Amino acid sequence: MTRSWPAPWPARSEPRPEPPDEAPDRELVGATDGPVVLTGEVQDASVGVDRRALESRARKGPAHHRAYLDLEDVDAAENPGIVYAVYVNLPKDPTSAELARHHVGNLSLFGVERARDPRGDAHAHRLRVSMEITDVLDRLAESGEWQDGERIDVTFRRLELEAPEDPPEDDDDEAVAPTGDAVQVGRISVHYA
Amino acid sequence: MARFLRRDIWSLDDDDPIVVGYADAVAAMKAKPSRDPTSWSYQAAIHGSHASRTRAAYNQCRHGGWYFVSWHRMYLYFFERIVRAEVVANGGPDDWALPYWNYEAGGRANRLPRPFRRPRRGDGSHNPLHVAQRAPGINRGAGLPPEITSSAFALSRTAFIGVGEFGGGRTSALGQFWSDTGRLEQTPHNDVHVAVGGLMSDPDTAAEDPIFWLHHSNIDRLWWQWQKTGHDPRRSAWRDQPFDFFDVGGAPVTMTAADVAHTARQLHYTYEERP
Repeated sequence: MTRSWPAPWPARSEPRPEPPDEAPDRELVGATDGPVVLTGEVQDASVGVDRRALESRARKGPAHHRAYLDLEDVDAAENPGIVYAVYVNLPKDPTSAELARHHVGNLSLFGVERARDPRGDAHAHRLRVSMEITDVLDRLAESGEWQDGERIDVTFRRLELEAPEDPPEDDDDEAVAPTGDAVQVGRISVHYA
Repeated sequence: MARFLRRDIWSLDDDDPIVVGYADAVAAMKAKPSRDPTSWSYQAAIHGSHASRTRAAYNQCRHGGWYFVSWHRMYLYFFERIVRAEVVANGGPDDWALPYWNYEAGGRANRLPRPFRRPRRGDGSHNPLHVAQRAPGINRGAGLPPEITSSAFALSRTAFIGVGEFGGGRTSALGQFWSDTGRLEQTPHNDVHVAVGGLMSDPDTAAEDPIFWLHHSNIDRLWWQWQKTGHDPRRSAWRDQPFDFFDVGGAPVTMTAADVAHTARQLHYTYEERP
């Protein structure tokens, strides 16, 4: 039996409505209180979800059953050379299977220097990454792993390269190590559509 | 009808004429004066450049929005034509096409293809495909993790338009970087740029690394794959927006997304499909 999300989130309707080329408008239902700083270590954050916004969306019925996680106003002095994996409601000391099950997307900062210092008439801005988390929340709700409908936990973990297959060579000295610069995520928000 | 087949680099031997032809063409393009639009440095600068003195069509790349996939398809199309002309001039195959690096194909495919790793070729000569400035371990075949190489999130998107959807949100055609990044652009595109590192991690130097073009050939392949079931934007602001490039011989050309929607019919290339 399919379980609905923690009340008042509605169950998914089938088939899911889908416009042909443009995604539906989204409504902000929750956000972190302040920025989150990433320095290469594992970092957790929690997003509080506003119950009144949920109730308002729930009244519109099960057709409106999509959730998105946005990382907004992402900034760094320069590209830190790190790719962070993003997880939702990840258990402590996760197994590789749990990492795969809770993975919703990645954060990296290609182009952050050009976004901060644009050419021509473009305005300076920060980066934004958006990822749909509906399927993960569905699975967690079905298995009883997500029972707090008013909070979503987010975890950032640095992704590492797999070990090289070739032996070291002379030109390895010229490799460019990641700067590891701190990344500020101005706000983490959850949207419902 | 497709005349040109873009092949998986990992399906080719290191001495395949496609690989050797690319290396020789890169060397020939690097030897050209930087004012020549078909030179290596000029082609890279069309994407982005730190040079304070710019030339026509420098700094044109489009990122962080819905022009990302179409602009890069046009960019690769003209680059491929320029490289092919060099390949043919060097006695290589006249149906030469840009290979792609499908880093999620399994096995060793998540590692930098061998012809790009070592400073010298088998005969001891300089290897034009090698760049020392990559992240530690990349030139020794360090593997990209599956979270970075996977196109699953991108290909699962059914809508093109929107931040976090397949192609990205609606943005102005002016400006190079916006913040309405699509899912394909973030992963695997941005993540692979950062993981390969060095020149590839900065949009103003990325196209100087010869692996850039095989990475983008793969990104273009993923759009080609998505197009089999997905629908590109119908808005004129996307379809009819012109962008400037240079063709073989350095001739200025203009192209729109409407000109590149169908790779086989309009641009005469397709992709090798491997199990």
